[in-house]
Amino acid sequence: MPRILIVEDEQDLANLLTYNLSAAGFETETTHSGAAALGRAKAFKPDLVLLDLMLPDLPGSEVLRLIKEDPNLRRTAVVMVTAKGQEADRVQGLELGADDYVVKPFSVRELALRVKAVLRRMASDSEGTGVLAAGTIRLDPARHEVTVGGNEVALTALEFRLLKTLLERPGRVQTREVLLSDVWGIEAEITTRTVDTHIKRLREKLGAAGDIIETVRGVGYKLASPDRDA
Amino acid sequence: MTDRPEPRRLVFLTLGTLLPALGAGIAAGLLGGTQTGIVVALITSVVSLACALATESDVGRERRSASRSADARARGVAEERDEALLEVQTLGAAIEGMEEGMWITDAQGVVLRHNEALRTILGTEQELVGHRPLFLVRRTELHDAVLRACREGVTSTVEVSMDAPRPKTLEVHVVPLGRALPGSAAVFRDITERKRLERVRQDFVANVSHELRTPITAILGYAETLRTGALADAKHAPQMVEIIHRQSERLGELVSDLLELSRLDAGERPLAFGPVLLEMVARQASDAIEPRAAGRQLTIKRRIPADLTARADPKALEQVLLNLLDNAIKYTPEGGSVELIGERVGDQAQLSVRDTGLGIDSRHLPRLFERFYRVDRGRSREAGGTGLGLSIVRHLVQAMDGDVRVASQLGVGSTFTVVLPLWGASVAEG
Repeated sequence: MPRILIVEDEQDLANLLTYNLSAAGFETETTHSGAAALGRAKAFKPDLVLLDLMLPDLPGSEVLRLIKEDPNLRRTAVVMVTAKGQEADRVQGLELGADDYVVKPFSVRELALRVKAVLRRMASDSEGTGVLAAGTIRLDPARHEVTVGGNEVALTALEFRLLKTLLERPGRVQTREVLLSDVWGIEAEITTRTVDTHIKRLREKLGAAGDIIETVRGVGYKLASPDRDA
Repeated sequence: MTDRPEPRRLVFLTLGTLLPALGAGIAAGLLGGTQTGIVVALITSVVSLACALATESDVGRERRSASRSADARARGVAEERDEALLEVQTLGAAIEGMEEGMWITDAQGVVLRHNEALRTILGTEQELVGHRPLFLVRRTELHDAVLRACREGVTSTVEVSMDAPRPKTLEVHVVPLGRALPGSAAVFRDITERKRLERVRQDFVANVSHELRTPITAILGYAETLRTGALADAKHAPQMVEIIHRQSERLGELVSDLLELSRLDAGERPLAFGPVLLEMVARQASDAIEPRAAGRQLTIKRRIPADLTARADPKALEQVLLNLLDNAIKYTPEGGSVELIGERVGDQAQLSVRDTGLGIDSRHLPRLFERFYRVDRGRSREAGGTGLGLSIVRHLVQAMDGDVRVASQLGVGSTFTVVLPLWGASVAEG
């Protein structure tokens, strides 16, 4: 049974989410503050964190950053829940590595569907034919592992999925819109800078090997074809 | 610069002799509401008229020397010239008297003239004439706008942020003077206060939006849950209905508080001032809130001199006390006490609400009366607060020429003190 950690300071809303997600077949736990969220997440080991961005103690974005920086938690999916419909908050959340967002007031049914979609995408990360490789980079979907020249590189779930998508489509230009749709699973109405931010971070983590990800000016990105690479 | 007497130089020569001598009084009446459009039209008129004046003057001289028999015509020309001169003086005075800053540049963007207001707006004592925009205001966007006006005849409006020591935001409207008159004019308006108010408004809207969405999400969410099957869940369905009811009430309170604030802001709540016996109003307020206090085993005491009379609106003062008492009850643990204390201090009447509650950390005190400011968001919501109560209190008290203060100590309690003019004192003043 997939586990969901609900971080929500409004008791009524936390209960609402708990009731509906339990009914949808998830195991849930609730915490009411940002400070407690990280500790709960470490103990409960959720598959997904449903994170309210307006918490009384810490900004939700800070909790998100802490989750994505923690080696044991960084692969946990995060869906932001926010009362602020403003684009800036959503964009910031996505750039920090959130997998999706829901704006209050939301439909509980839609929320459950989004949670399932995010978990499905995560599950598909470990599917695939076998190890993918380009240059010195190797990505093992089954073990959820990425190495560069034999050394393991710690990637978040989103970065992993982004790299896997590029490795599966070598030499083909991927527009930002396509990447947003295939990697994040969201419509490209939001922003395309999110993609750029993640590519930048991915390149940094891959070091020199990251040069294999080429920028196609004004269009998107592509993985250099193996023949060019050789 | 060359020595050739170009028409433009004549214009500024004329303006130069005129502007300083002109009174600012005429300008205020002429401008009324100063709009950039009017100002730009004025600049263009002044410059064109000054040009016309210069030209007319030359033409007149030629005509006089050419034919004495045309005396009548020459007189006509002289009259026209006087009219034109008067008009230049009037428009010049208008520009000198306006609140907006203004400069006129030559075709290279070098400042030729400016009004006095510009110095104030730029906050500088330095010489402005003879310099390019970038030297005077170190912002490339303004410099570019001036050059575009001079070279391409492009009109534009740019927003310029000025740095410390006195940070300001200026809105600058830059116009070309026209083909016959090379150069540009720019009108500077200080919009710092407007920007600040815009930010306050945006923050307020964001807060309102957040505060409204939370109960709406709960109401919608539970209604949806009930509708899609939970109605048959005999254990949880009644709790869900209860939550929907509670959150609807909260939404209702929030909307009434918002409307109350909006009425106060708009000055739509007329106050009827009169002598108000504080003991009487305090008794009415404490009687109204007594049942809630009793429910929490809290006692409300009053220590107010029977004749202490303030100049106030009795209804508004009662609302102030109800809000303060309501807070005191919310944040005082069971078994505690709430006290209403009245005293005369100089020519002021003071009424304090003192509780033995949780107290407030001193770092929160300066912001306590701000809209939606909460010391503890979680606890405030649990207690059913909208985050607007104290803001309404401050509004009402200030509208009654009074003030409200707070003193608090963590774990000991809080005292909110309303200070109002004594009835006698206010009568004496009036």
